[in-house]
Amino acid sequence: MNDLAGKHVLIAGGLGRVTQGIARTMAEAGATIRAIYDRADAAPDWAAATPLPIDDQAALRTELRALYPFDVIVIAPPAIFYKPFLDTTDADWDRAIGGNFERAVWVAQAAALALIERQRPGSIIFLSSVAAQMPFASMSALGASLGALRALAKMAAVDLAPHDITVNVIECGWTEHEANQPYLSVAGRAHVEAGTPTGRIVTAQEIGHACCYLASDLARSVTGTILTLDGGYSLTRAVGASALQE
Amino acid sequence: MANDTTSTKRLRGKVALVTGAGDPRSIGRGIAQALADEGAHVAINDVRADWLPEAVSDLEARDVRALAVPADVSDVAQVEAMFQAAVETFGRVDIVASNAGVIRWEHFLDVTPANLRLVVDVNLKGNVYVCRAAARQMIAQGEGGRIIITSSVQASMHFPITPIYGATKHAMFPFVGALALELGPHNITVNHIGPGWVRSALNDPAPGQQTDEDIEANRQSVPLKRDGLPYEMGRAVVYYASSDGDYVTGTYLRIDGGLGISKYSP
Repeated sequence: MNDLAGKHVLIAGGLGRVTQGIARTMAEAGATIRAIYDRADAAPDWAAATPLPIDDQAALRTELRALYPFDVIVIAPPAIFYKPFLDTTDADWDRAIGGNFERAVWVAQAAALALIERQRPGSIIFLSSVAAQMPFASMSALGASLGALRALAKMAAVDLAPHDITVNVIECGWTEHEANQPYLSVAGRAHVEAGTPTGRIVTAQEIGHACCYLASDLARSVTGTILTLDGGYSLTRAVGASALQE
Repeated sequence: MANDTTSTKRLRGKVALVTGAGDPRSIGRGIAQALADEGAHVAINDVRADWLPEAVSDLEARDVRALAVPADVSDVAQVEAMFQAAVETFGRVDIVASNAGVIRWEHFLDVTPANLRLVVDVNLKGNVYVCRAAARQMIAQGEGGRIIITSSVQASMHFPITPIYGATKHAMFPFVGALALELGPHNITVNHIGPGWVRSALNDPAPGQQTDEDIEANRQSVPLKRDGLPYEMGRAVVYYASSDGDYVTGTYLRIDGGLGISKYSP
């Protein structure tokens, strides 16, 4: 495992159990963990946590700067939900685009400014979904927000490279996220497992390992990349070689 | 036979060459038919010379001239002779649909040297030889030209048991891009089309598609809920070949009923 000893990691955005598992894995690698969350939300109970004014760009910059030191920020999408395109409301779009994209941008921007001010290298890691690269039904708002994030990460990587700040995206397949449980708890789990070449759902620990790599000193030249972490789910419609059986 | 109802003879007087078009069920035949329905004369190729007399009759029935140009596209000498024959008869070649291809269904671990060579020779080298001969002829003519390669939905999505086929199709992205760059100054456009599930002889029967139930289940997994028709691939080639495609080069167009966009269709 990559050594994150001495690294300070901020965790932002969706702070559910997958994010919690990622944080635990990074802590096991030696990192100190602090969650940041919007003042309007409840504090997570699994990490040291600081409330911030996420929607107030100027105040967010000031308070995140005051929160220094940190080396790494992991930003998870808070708005994971499934809704048919025709039923998607203005509020749904705000929730997806505002939560998964705009707020992620503001947090990343404020974090980058704090790192630059201290003249410190850093890593920004966006957690995302393969929905940004392959379409699904009932995921138009979610997919659009994550598609925007995908593009943003690459542009930000260019802008921040001179400051030795890397920006990368991990696009996960099916996870044990709370929003997925209604589907996974019924027939969906078998369907997902059958549709995944590795035959199983990606664990939070595995996503944590990817975060450890991108946060570590081994990955200082890795920026603007999309790391697909899905057991091969996005590769293909046909899974395995059973198709050869006559 | 596919019935054309929208033709406006936009390719009247043009000369097209289509490879891999001997089989009546093939995508190549659909391309040749669509080009002929738009008024283009067609040099029609296949490695199976015995299939071509019927193909010529099919095209001539569409009120164009047709010429059988049998050749193995993986043999550079045969490819050059094929172009020579087409030019001797028609005087020129304006449109080339480099379509001939083969597939071998094999687990990666079981890929044999012979099948590796065959798929690479036809799908990769064949396209190189045909496109090079096409470009040389078009440059000599000095009036531009259109090259349309048939790749596959496999150029952009992945399937087991066809790893070599998929590799040769995906390879069309950099190949088409490079040709578009190099041939653009000669006003030659180069593009590729990605057919989805077409029940041509190439994949009928296919492994896993042995029963009516299998075939129907596969069909239902496509958003548009049906197979693609060879003639529909031909209509895309007509788009690229006609004045509609004047400013279109280096692109990839899937014609797959949505197969390529989603893992599971609703």
